[in-house]
Amino acid sequence: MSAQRNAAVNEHKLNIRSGIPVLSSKYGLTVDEYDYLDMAVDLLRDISTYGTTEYIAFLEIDKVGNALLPCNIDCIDALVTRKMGIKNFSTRVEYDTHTLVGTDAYYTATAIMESARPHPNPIVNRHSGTAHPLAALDNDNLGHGQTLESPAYKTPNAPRFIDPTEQDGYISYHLVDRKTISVDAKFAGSILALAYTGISVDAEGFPLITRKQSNALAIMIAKYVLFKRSLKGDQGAANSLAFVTAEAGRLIQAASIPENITDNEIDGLLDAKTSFNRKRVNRPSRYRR
Amino acid sequence: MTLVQMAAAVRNNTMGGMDGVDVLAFSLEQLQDELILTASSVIIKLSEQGTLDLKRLHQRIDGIRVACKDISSNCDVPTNVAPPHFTIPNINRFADMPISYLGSMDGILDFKIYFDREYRFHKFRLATGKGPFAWVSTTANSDGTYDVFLFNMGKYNNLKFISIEMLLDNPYDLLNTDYYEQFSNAEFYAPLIVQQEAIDMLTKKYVNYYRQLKMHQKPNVQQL
Repeated sequence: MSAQRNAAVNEHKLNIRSGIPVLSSKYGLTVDEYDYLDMAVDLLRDISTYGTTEYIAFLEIDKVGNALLPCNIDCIDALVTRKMGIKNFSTRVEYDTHTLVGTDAYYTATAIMESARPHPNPIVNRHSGTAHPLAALDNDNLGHGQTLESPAYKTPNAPRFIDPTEQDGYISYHLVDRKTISVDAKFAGSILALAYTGISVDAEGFPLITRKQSNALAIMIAKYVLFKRSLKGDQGAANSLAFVTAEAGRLIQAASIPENITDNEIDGLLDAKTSFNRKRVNRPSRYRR
Repeated sequence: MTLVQMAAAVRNNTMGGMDGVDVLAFSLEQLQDELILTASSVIIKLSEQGTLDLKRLHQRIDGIRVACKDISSNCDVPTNVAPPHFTIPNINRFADMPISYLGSMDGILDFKIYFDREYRFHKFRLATGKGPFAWVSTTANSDGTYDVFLFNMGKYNNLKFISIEMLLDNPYDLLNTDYYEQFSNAEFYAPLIVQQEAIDMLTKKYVNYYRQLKMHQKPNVQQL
């Protein structure tokens, strides 16, 4: 069973930029990195198979009880207290909300590297007087550090109130919109842990891709590059455009097929023949365990 | 070959080609300037033929000092917008990507580069709208250099030094900058084939021009 589960783990391990060396080595073409990223993110929405990862994120609740959700969120598993989040969901991948704010915007190295520094204005829990747990992170240069509880939390003489976030427990919430979560105003100013399943992303917020997607992105972008050249009158580019277009179609099709098809996925395919909502089979953001 | 050696080769070839026609005096300095002009067109020609990758000719400068400057080029009408700024010699604007890299010296932080006012639409880019970008001015300053302004740097506004890799219109312009120590004129910046082509083109030009100028009028012997 565990072997099957491991095989079902998504194959999305590569950085989205892995198409750039493919573009260079297979087609001898170069493209501006920024142009590549824009085109790749756009194309991925068409290729549309994303990996999923179980994340934990520590949300800062504002004064009216709202918090921005991570941009890669797919479904919420639980909203719990910070303490319970650290204790019960420690095996999950931590999503650093300081660098990846809950918008659809993708951040770049600037924002990521920024978090390597200590937070200039660490958020302090107004009940316990303690700092944001992320302020105690032992950051590396990508802003990802081990979650260590600040010694301040363990100080017995610190002024203590009955802080709901210091208790274990699940917290009720509702969604304000697709980007915002709302909880009771008594949690204002505190840190809550959000356990969720989301699209696998790298440290910059770009989706992770598979080997086949990397090849598909490379040839699609090669197609764009050649198309631009042919518009400028490059006859060689115009001649090769037909071949590249056909090959791009093949590789995009191939990118939608996983390298290892598990029994679960075959079951899903067979169910598709008889299920009412057949479009949901192999939905990109399907929650896989 | 060095630039001076190339100029001497052109002069010798031309003198040889014009032997018996005329006695000419050449300025080596002028020949050097013309060689740089000719080399530039040779490079573009070879690039269009697909035999030369322009990226292989890019020059790297490290440690360019960045300082804020008003974006207005008119000192009397400041905009009060002073992004981080530095200057570079003129780049070869004929190339598709005259600047292949602009960013921090360790290669981690890089900028999207705009050569025109298209940078106004940077914020609308799908995935990289929040990324840093640079705008290279198209107008030369009084010292012949061109302004480069950096935007969207966030807290990296404090970045002091920057690195750039670019195809210069005239790499010898680097000798007029503060970074001249990083430029070596021990060898012409382009490969031997470019040197050969440049010398040939310039020699042919001179020989043809002067031969035509010195061609004696033949008498008209046609009979009516």
